[in-house]
Amino acid sequence: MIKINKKERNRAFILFIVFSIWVLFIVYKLVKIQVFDYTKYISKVKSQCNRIFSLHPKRGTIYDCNGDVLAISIKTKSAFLSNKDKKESMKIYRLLSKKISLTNGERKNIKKRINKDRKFIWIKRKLEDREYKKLKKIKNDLSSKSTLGFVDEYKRIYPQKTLAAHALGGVGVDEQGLCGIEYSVDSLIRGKGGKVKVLIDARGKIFEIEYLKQPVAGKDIFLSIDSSVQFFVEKELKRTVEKFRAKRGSVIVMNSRDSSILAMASYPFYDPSRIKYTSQRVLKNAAVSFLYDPGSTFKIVLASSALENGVCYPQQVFNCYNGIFHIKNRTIYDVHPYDKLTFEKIIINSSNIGAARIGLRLGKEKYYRTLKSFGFGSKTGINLPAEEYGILNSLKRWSNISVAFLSFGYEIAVTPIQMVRAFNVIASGGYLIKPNILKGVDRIVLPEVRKVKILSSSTRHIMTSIMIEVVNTGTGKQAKIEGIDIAGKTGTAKKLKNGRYEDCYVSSFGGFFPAQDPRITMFIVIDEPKGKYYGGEVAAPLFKRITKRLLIYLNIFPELDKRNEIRI
Amino acid sequence: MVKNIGVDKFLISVIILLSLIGLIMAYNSTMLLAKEKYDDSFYFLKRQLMWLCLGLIIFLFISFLKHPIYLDIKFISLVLFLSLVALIMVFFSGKINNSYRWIRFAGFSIQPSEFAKISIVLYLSYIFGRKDVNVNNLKKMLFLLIPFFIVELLMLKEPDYGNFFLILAITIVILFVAGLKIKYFIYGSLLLFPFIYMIIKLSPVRMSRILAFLSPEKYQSTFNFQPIHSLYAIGCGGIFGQGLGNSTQKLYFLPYAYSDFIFSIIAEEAGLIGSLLVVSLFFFFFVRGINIAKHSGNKHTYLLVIGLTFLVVSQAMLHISVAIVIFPAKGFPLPFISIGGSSLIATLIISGIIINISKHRKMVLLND
Repeated sequence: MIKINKKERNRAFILFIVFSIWVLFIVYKLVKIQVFDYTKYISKVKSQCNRIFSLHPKRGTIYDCNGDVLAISIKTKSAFLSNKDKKESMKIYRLLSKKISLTNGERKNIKKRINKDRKFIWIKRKLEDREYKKLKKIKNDLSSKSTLGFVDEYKRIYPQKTLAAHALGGVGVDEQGLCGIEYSVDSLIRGKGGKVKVLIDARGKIFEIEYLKQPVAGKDIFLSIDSSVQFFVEKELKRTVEKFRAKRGSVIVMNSRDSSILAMASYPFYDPSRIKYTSQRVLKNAAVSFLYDPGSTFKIVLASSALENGVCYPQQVFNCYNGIFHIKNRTIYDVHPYDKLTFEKIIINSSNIGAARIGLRLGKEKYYRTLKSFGFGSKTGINLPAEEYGILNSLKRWSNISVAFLSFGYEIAVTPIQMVRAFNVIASGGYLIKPNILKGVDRIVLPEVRKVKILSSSTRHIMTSIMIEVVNTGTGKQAKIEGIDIAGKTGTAKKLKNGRYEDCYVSSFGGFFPAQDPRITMFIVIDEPKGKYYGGEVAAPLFKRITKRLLIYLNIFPELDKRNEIRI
Repeated sequence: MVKNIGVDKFLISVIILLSLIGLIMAYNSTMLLAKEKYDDSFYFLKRQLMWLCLGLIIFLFISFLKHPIYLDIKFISLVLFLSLVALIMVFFSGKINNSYRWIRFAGFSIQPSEFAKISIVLYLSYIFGRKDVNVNNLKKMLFLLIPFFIVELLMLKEPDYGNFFLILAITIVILFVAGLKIKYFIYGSLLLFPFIYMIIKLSPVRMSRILAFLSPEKYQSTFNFQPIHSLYAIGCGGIFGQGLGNSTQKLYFLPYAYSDFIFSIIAEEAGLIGSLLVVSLFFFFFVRGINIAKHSGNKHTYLLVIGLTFLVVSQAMLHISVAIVIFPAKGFPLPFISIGGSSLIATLIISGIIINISKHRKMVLLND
């Protein structure tokens, strides 16, 4: 047995000191890391495993007045690549690209982003169901599963395809309203986004979820549009526009009593789900943003003004100068020359010279006041974006002959929605009512809009009877339907192009029925028809076809004529 | 002369405390993995508990030994021989993680290197604790070190550089305490450095780990993955910790968190308080071990206890040093605490021997 000698004790003591220094250094390091650098590390760890994601709210559904769905959001999957290794990502992308449809631009963009070493790359958002199934299969076969991921996103679906496209508008890729009612009620329908804090592990797997803010679904919207009416209006409009090879056309069908829109169609149509690929020209909603010189349809405003101001009476005779009327250095022509015409006949036969003579008698102040009261030169305020004001020069800028040209609808620009409102003043019994397309939000029915009486009932009665005659015997004969009184007025206006009126026309027809107790007011505009171009020949037949269908659909049984039948 | 101080109760409490912490962490650091892999979050805990029970039985058995068989050269030779056989057997047992370290046996895996370490310490303390061996007789010493060289060669062959390094360090500690002249250490290190450099240079992984250790920011996302997350874990523990079970870094940010980086998880969940507790427990273990060695009365047990104590505490401090990135990344299990049966049982055998020596200090004297 050997005793422990001094040297060995000293050696152990040296080891003890060395080891203690080591331990002390460890303690020093621990204090430094855990106390002094604590904030630094905690923020790093937070950014490492806490992810804040925004949750998309469900966008409200848009219904028509019967509760049919016009637009709805459904949950879909969007695919993304989480790019950790360029080469591998490219390989995966090549695999994927065969399975899904992508445009060339999208393909280029993805490749560019992979090469730029972006960490997060959208492959395709809002996948079709079969595309998702294919990609999911690929993901399961991949060795590094974290590189291809999916997130839930809502996708806007328009189950009725192109129906009422212009009224509905459309949404962008982030479900934001871009045009139409989708845009104008965006704040209501969008809902509120939620936020979620996700704790993820190193493999990117979600470990814990904490809702910071629950998403709030958007409100449902009920439109006054009736998809059945909209359907046949669109069908008939398309027929007419194609028949006359017109540039565009628009029809507005309105409930005469409260100015709610039953149908609003603008041709060419588009598919709201493909808004990205639709040109700006096609997206334009002609019903509210097509500006044109109204032409003869505007004579109903003139006539109403003259009667309301008491400067004319229906049987008053005006000299119509046999079709050529010189005023200052300008000349006004009539298509059919007349020597003398009564006030009524001027409207029924649509004499420009007669209208000018009425206007001159009426005087510009009174006429201007009527135009303002009809709301020309200002938006109707319908709940649709991109509405035009129209152009109504202020009284100061009127020349001495402006009133003559304004009398038959020139020197003024209007929109179809302004015209249908003007026609509805007469139809509704003299009230100016703001056109409306929004019936309710969620289950709350919006209050009826305010009415302003601007025409007396006598004026209205005279105007109605004149407009019935327009359809029965005047320029609007092609809109006539046996057994029912239809009040209407045709319009044919030369288009102003580059500051000159050229041989391009806008044909229009406005009217309402049943004339004695109007339920429907309708206005039709056909832009640049080829071949025939008179409103009575282009727009009036369309009015008739739509009216026939409306009579059946709305169960309007007018007083039956002697043969107990309506020829429809 | 030599007083009988009796069994070191303080050391026993340290051992029990460390084992308890180990049990808690065994559950805490593996429940997610176990749930995912075996659909039973207690899977690893159950196994660890089983190992602990077995280890404690062995610990008690050794502690109560009347005759310190571990000082007997016949026994030591047998153990050394068995260790060598076991270390050779690993090569017939198939690779795990690119190295031969395990012998699979009846559904369990045994890591012979854990036990080889003990047998080397038993052997070295025997040869240098005996009268007839002068540690400074170079020829004879090198001859007697042959078993050590064989074990080290096998460690390199496996490869298991961690244990290679550890056995080397313990041998140096024993030689140092045994009184080897300082000049031999200098000669030795002159020989050793090119050799170690070669080992590092030959393996690109090792090289990059060293590089990553030297400049952590540069290699953050590649080789320095573990060290950085270990620092994150320890750092965000703060003073009081995130609370037991609240570690975020164990969510697969720290691979092998339950073994190679368990200290980081303790530091994250129990904060500075927990990490200092663990460091202090090992330091107490160290102090008590040195104390027992000093009072054991003869050179053999002196070297043995110092060797065994260092085996445990230097491995613990290496583990912690890796965790706080003052040492390059290398997998050292934290004794008592890291998951793993071989390591736990080996540690409890060591503890048993130390306790037994503390108990039989008088008998040790009589024995020789």
